[in-house]
Amino acid sequence: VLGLDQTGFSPRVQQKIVYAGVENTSYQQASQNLAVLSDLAVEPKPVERLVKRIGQERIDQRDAAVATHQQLPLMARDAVANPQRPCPAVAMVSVDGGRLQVRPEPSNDAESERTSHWRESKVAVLETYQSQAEPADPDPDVPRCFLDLKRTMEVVRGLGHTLPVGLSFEGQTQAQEPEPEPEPNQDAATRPGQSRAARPGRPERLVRSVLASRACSDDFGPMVHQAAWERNFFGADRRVFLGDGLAVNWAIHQRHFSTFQPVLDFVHALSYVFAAAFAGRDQAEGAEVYKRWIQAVWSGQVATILPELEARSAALGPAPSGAAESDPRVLVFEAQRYLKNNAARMRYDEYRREGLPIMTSAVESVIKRINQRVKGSEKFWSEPGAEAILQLRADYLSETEIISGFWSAREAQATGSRPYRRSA
Amino acid sequence: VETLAGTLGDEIARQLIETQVRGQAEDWSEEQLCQCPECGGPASKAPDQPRVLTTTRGDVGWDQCVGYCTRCRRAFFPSEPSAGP
Repeated sequence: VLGLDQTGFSPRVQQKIVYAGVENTSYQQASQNLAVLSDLAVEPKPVERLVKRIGQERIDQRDAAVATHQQLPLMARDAVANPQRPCPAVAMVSVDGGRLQVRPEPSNDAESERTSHWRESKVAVLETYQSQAEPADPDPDVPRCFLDLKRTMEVVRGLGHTLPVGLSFEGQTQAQEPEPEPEPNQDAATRPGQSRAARPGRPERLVRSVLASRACSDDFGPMVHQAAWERNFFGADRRVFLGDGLAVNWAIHQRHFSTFQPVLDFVHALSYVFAAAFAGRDQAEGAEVYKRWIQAVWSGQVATILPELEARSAALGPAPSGAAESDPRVLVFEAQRYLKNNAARMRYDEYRREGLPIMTSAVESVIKRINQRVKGSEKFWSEPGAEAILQLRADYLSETEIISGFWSAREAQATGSRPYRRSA
Repeated sequence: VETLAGTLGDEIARQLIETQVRGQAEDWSEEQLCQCPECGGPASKAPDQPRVLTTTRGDVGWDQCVGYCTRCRRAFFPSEPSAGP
């Protein structure tokens, strides 16, 4: 039995079309690649239609699983889903946001036509790790890559963080050979060409799964909760929830992952420290301050630099309303507020002792890979199209074989019949 | 040689698939088309409809038997046994 449906494509061909439609940068490119690589002549529109259809099927499955999970008693929702399967040693959940352009539904509202089409998407990465808890911090010194000022400035800029005007470290680092692209699971501290081959005590990543959706955080939280529950994350010996400073991330943590250790991404903390250290200072003095402060943050001693930041903020005085984001007064005040608000999630020495990851590089890497497909000034999605492509992109980035299982089940269930049947 | 062998292999596979699909399509008796799956009323056999399926080995074609319900004004294909809904 071939397991045919009404699409006009065999199951194997459908798999190729959907893979091409999701993994290429456009449906046009998918169509071309199908022709060259698989000798399949499929126009872009049928590729798009099939991606939407299969994406919707996956969305329906996801929503049904979340609804079933929501109906469990409260205690069972945070329990081990399947005692027959082993629980991970370390379970990590990390949430962040991406962006894509969504075309609004046609309407007569002229105002909606003028507003930006850029909208938020939510992305979560669930990873298991293998690591050992240590009696002492296995890596007490801040990695040298974070002391390379030129490189660190590029990292901070890459995060979109505002820096003091005129800050430049051109010519301060030795010329280096071009580096290969880092592996997706490599964090910033261990990329090739840097001072450390491997950060001591760094946990070894095992299996990743990904969720992506246009849903609001109230709906996205339960999705992540269900996905973590299904992977027995609530039975893990050590559980960690990683995020940047966005309040919405910590709302998800509080509501769905309150038993997980909350950890602020180290690189986001670094970006505030970096900007504040150089704000209103000459570069040599700023460099000394930055190196001292970042070592304190790395060592989990953020409380020791907060008084300095407060004093510095007081010395600079309050920023007038309408001050530029790069105004030293704004940079120092924002850093002080950010570090103070997140201090409880910045005990990095403790997290390293417990063998926990401390950077959100996993979710940021995944967002970059999702963006390769969905984000572009020339790319506009409908709401259903956006949700379908996000769902499938996340499925293909997952290492839990969710998509191959979906195809197998779908083929087995295909009836080759009209979708309607006589009701009993 | 590689191209020729590949083309021959594809054609053999395509014909195998086509034979299988045609066998499936011919497996349905006309009685199965006598009742409308929608309203349960009487239905009649309509002319077969040609169908084409794109496979990894090329297109395969067969004639799909079709029923027609005058009350619903809808055509329908017979259902295959399935492993699930």
